[in-house]
Amino acid sequence: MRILNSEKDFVIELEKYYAQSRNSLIWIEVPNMGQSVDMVIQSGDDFTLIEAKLKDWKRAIKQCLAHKLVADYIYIAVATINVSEEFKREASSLGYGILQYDSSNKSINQILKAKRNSYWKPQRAIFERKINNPQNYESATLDVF
Amino acid sequence: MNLQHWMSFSTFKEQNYFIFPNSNSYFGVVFNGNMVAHAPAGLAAFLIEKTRVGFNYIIDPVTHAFQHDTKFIKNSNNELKSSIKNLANSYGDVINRLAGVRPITPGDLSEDEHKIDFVNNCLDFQRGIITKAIEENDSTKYFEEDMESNMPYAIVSPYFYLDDTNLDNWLPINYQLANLTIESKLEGEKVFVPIVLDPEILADSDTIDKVVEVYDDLENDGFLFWLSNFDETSVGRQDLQNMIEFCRKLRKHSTKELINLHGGYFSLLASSEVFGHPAFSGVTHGPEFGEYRDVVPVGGGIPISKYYIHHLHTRIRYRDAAQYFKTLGWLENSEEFHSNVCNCPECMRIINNNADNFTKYGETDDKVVMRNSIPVTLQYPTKETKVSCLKHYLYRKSFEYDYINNLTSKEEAISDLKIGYDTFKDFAPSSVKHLARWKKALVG
Repeated sequence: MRILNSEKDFVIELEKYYAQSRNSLIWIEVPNMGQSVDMVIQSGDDFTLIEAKLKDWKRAIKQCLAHKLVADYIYIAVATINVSEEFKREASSLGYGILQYDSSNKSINQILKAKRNSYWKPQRAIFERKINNPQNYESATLDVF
Repeated sequence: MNLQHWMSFSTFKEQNYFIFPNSNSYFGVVFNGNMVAHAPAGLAAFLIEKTRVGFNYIIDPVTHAFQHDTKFIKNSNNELKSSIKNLANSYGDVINRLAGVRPITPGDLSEDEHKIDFVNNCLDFQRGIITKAIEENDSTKYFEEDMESNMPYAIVSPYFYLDDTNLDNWLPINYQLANLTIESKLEGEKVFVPIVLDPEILADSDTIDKVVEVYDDLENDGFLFWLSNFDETSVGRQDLQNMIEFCRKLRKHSTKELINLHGGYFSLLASSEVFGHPAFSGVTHGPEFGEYRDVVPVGGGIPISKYYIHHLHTRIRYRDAAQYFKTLGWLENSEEFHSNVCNCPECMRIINNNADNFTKYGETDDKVVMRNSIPVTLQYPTKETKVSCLKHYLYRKSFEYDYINNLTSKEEAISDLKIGYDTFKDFAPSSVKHLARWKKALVG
C-alpha cells in the first residue's frame, strides 16, 4: 500500500490512474486566473477540472469557485477513507463531483458524479488558448517529478 | 465642510494618477518621509508637473520606523536602507547614532535637549526639503514664487507607534514631542499630531479615554490617524464603533482636523454628518493599495488583478468578480454590465459594447519559475490590466467621495449597503459580511 505524504504525491497518483485512458489529454498544475488547478483532463471538447486534497475538502470547495468560469465538469478528489455526508451535500449543491482514492488498489472511486457546468465562454476561450500553448505546460507534466 | 480626499504617494510609477480622473479629484498627497529624504527633487518635479497648482502635501516623518526591530530598516546586505539613512541624518544626533544599531527607546529621548533637537530637526526637514527642491527645479527657478505656497499643508510632530505593551512608555513622549512642535509653530502653519496605534488599544474604553485625555489640552490644528493593519472589511462591529468614538473625541466635535492615513469606504461613511459628528475630516488611500496597512513592512506576495465592486465597496480578485457577475447575469451583454456593474469611463472603454471584454481586467503574463525543483507557472497581471484596474478603482473612489459629500440622509447610505448585501448574500455570503457590520456600527 502506498502512503500519500503530500498533495503532490496524490496528484501524481491521480495522473497515473487517468493516464491509462488513451482518449484523454491530461495536464497538471494548470494556472487559471492566478490559481493553479491540480489536474485538467480533456476528453473531446470537454474539460474536467480536478482539485485534489488529502482531506481538506472545504478548502477545495473554495478553490473550485473560479473553475466554474472555465470547466465542463468539476471534481474534488480526496484520499480519505470516508466521505462525509456534509461534503456530499455541499458538493452536490454546487454541481461538483467527488472522487475518492483507494490506496489499497490505487484506484479512484467516483462517489458523486459532477453535473455539467455552464462556463463563461470568453474566459474558457482564454483557458483553452493557454492550455494548448506548450510553452506554458510542457515542463509541468509527470516526467518532472 | 467637505471630506478631503487624500492619496498617499507610493511609487513614481503611479505619479500620473494624482490628476486622475481629473486635476481636482484630490485634496492633496501624503508623502512618506523616507521617500522625501531619498528623492526630494523627484517629488518636487512630481508636484510641479503632475499635480495642479497649489496641490496640498503633507510629509509623514515616519519617525516610528526607528523604534521597531532594525531588520525593518535594513537592506539584504544588513545595511541601513539609503532612504532611512538620509532620514536619520536629517533627524539629528539621537536618531542618527542609533538608527540600525538598535531600536530607539523612550529612555533615549528622556532628556529635554534631545527632544528639542529631534523636534527642531524633524520640522526643519519638513519645512525645507520639498520647498528647496521646488526652488531648485528647472521649471520654477526663474520665477519668483511665494515661498509659503510651497509649504506643507501642515507640519507633523515626530511620533512613535503605540500598542498595549508600550503605551505607558511612549504616550508621554509623543505628547511632549507634540507640545514642543506646537511651541515651534510658525505663523500661518498648521500643526498635526500623528496618532498611530495598534487597534487593540481601542478595545478598551478606559484606554480610549486615557489617550484622548492626554491630548485633550493640546493646541494642535489636527491629527493624522493610523490604525495598524485595520482592514475595515474584516474587523468587527465593535472595533469600528471604537474607532469612530475615539476619533470623535479627539476631534472635540469637529473643531480639529483629523486625517485617516489609511481608510476605506467605512471611513468615508463615518465622515458624513448624517451619522453624527464626522470621525474624519479627510481620508487617505493609495493609488493601488493603502486602505489599510501595517506599520511595519510586510512582504507583498504575487500581485493579482483585483476589480473594485462598488456594491461591496471593496476590491475583489478578478476571478471571483467574474464568477459573481456571471452568476448574476451581468456579463450577458454590455447593457447589463453597465447598468449593473459599472459605467465609469474606464469600464466603457474596456467593455466597448461587448461584455466578453471584461476578461481584459484579468489578463496575465505567464512565467514558469522553479520552486523546489518543480516548474510552477506564475500569472502576473499585464501592465495594461493593472492600469485598467487602477483607473476603474480611482473612478469609483472619486464617485464615493462625491457621494459622501452630497449625502443627505443616513437612510440613503444604509439603503446602498443593503442593496449590496442583498445582491450578493445568497452566493457569496463571506463577501458581504462587512456591509452588515458597517450598518450595525453606524446605526445599530
